[in-house]
Amino acid sequence: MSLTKIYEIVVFITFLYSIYLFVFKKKLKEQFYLFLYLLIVILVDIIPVNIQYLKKCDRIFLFIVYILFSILYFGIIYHKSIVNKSFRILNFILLIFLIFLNIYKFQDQNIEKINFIPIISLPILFIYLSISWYLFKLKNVDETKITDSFLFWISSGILIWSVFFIFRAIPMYFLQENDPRLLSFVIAAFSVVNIVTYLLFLIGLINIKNERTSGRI
Amino acid sequence: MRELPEEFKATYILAIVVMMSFAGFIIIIVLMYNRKQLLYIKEKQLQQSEYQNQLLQKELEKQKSIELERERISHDMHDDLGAGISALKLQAEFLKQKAEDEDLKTDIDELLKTSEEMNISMREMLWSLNSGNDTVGSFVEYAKIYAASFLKKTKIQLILEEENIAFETTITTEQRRNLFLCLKEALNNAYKHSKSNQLTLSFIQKDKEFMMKISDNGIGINETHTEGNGLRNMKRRMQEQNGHCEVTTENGTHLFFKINL
Repeated sequence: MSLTKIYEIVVFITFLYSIYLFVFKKKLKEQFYLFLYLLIVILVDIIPVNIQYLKKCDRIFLFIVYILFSILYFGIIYHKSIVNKSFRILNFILLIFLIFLNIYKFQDQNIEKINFIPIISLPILFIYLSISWYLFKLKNVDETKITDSFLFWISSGILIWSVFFIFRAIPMYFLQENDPRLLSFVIAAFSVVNIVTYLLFLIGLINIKNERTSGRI
Repeated sequence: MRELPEEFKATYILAIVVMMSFAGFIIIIVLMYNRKQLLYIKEKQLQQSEYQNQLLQKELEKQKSIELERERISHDMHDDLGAGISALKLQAEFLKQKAEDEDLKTDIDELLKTSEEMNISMREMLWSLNSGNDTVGSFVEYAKIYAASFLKKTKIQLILEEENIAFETTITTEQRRNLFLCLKEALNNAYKHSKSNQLTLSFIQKDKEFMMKISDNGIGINETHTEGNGLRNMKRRMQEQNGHCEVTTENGTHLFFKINL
């Protein structure tokens, strides 16, 4: 089985588990509506790749939709979870800036290649959000274990994902032209990172099911 | 198809390794959090114990003020009421000397008897109130004196026994008072109903347990006879002190009282 298929299965399992928590356990706010994000991932990254007549659809447009949704989704959940005025102000400014920049850049988008801005914007935001959350947690220690927190797993997932995404996406076109072998290696490595990321999300969801993280950040 | 130079690839892989340190960063965060959490929990425990100490201090101050008030009442009773009773007795003695009528002398004798009883009652109250008597030793000594004095004019022979009594062990005023009232009731019952000629009063201490046993060789309690007020009160008093009261009637009546000090 290829790494891409494993990645798709992991995303699908995580999505189903998220739906199960929502429908049967009534855990909606506790999982920060994660099934919505996972649904977008499936719609943008899995379905168009696997369904024949959708393969011709505009992947760049879908990618921009995914970027904008991710910026909004993660921006909002961390905005609600981190109770810090300066973080919230900076987060708000960063969100607005990134959204407008992406929309602006999308208008003069090259049909063949994705612009540098949408590629870099998501990792920057993710790194900022996850590190802010870690620092917030370190400043606000309580009696619960940090690993019991749903956002710990989300932050760890997006931090690892962001780092690899930079090396996957930025030199993508350069490697395509100069060293396709290295590019395919990088893509395979990124698939592993993707699998790890969604497994971390799944662990976070399992923690919610155990009701240890209910209402915690 | 061109291939990138080895240096580029090495740099690329090295950069990935460097970026992997982010994973290490997460582990460091977890370790730091755990360390801070440990400090936080210890700090919280310290705060809790400080708060409990404060509560204890307040309780101690409250107890101290109650003790002071009790001492004041006991002093007032001794100085005022005691002197009054003594004066009453003295005046009654004078009257008795002056009186010639036999009926009047009998009445004055009754008055003197009542005064003496009041004096004894007051002494018992003073003993109860005095916090200096809050030791097992003080209770045992007082109970022995009381029992000997009570049975002195009766045909009942008193045998006193003690086992492992640590005289300085603290006993609360309430426990002391309730045990003494039980003893009084038991002695009174033995005198009135037991038809015995021997009564054994034993005090036993086992670490934090204090026991008092009152046994007579009388007729015991009739099984058909329902539990009277006296026995019921004794049991209630012991229950209130988280203690235990047991009555057996084999070869006489045996009353057993146990409290945790």
